[in-house]
Amino acid sequence: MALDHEGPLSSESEQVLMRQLVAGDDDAVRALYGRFGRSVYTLGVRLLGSNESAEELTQDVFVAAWRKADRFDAARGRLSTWLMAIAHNMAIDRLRHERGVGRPFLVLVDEVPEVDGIEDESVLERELARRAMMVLSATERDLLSRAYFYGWTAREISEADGIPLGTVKTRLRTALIKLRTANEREAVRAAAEGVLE
Amino acid sequence: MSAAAMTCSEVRERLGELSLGIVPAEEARRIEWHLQSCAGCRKEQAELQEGAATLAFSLPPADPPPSLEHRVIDRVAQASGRRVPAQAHRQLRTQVRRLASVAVAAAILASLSVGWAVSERNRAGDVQRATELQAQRLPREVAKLIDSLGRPAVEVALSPTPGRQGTGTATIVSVPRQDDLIFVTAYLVDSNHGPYTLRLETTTGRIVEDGQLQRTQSGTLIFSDRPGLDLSKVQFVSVLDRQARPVMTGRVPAVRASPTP
Repeated sequence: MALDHEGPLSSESEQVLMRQLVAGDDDAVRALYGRFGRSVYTLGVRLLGSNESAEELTQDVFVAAWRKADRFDAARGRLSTWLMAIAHNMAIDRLRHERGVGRPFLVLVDEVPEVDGIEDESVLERELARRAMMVLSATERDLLSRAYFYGWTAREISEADGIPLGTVKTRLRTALIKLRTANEREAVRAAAEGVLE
Repeated sequence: MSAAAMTCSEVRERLGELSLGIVPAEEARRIEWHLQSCAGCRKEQAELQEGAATLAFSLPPADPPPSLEHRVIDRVAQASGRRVPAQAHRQLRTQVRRLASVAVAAAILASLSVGWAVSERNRAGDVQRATELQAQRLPREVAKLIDSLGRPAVEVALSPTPGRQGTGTATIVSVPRQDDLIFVTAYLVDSNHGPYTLRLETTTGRIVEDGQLQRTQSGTLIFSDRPGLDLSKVQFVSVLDRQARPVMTGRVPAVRASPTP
């Protein structure tokens, strides 16, 4: 099966790719990096605040992906979701470890210059994500950003905003579901329009 | 929250926060434990995680340095035992050379001490014993070092050809993109037909090495590492006498040991 990084992979292809990754196949690592390396690196830069930390994180994430590859189940979710969850968790662990704090304290670096002219899968993913984000209200976007990018716990948000804890948890969950549904809808629409073909 | 197993309701209340990475590590472990055996909660978790991943993908992309891809591939290769860090590889090579030189030094000392005065011979004997001790210790160090590389060495048993008596082993470490290593020890009951040479032959019959074995004080024949050899396709290892007749042969196992994660 071809391992190039043109267009999204089917569930079956994702599973094949991960089987090849289990064997430590260089081409499988290359294909995985070609698809998601930029996204992982971007998350690292934005959360950890330096290119060096992002580069180390990216390497650690792909090694972790190799170690966990046999546990990946395409029936349970997309490869991109699985990999970004690993990246986000590792970034948080790194911040906890390096800063010695009991909870993540993430820093979103807004000054990182945006790159033009990229044509890999991260562009498609970003375009879908960007469109999906637009269905959220400003309050929902702010809520999710504070949790995901800045590491605010539900209790901290509750105290800062004067909202009951249970309400914050419900809003976080609702916003995530809304985002996921919108993203899925955008993917279907893009496929129908031939954007992802 | 108690340390008891969590219910579906407790878990689902926390899944949003888990997906956003804001649940304390201990609690996250307990939720993960529940997820392993609960398909319903797992399905919900997968959906929420897709929402969280969308947040990550919405970030304006940054540009990784071109060298990062190679470093990532290399790190995975090293972790999977298919590639050896350059420093560890250099260390191994140094150890193998030291092993060979110590063994040869023991042989030279032995020959020199023959014509010496008795007192000198005693002193030489001490040095020789110390050298032999080192020669015994070094193979273990080399073996430990090979283990630490995470890539098992291939051991080839050498058997005497009909009419000969002896025993031997060839140890091959084949490392992609780096020089391979080989260390051969052979002992022949009748070793008076030297000099002996080592012949390495690939599956296609190509000879990749035809070098001379050195004889140590104890009569053991050794051959150590010669940089630049690609030993990944070697199938037959032979020791030839001075008339190029094989006195010992061995075949590389069909399935080379796979790397252990």
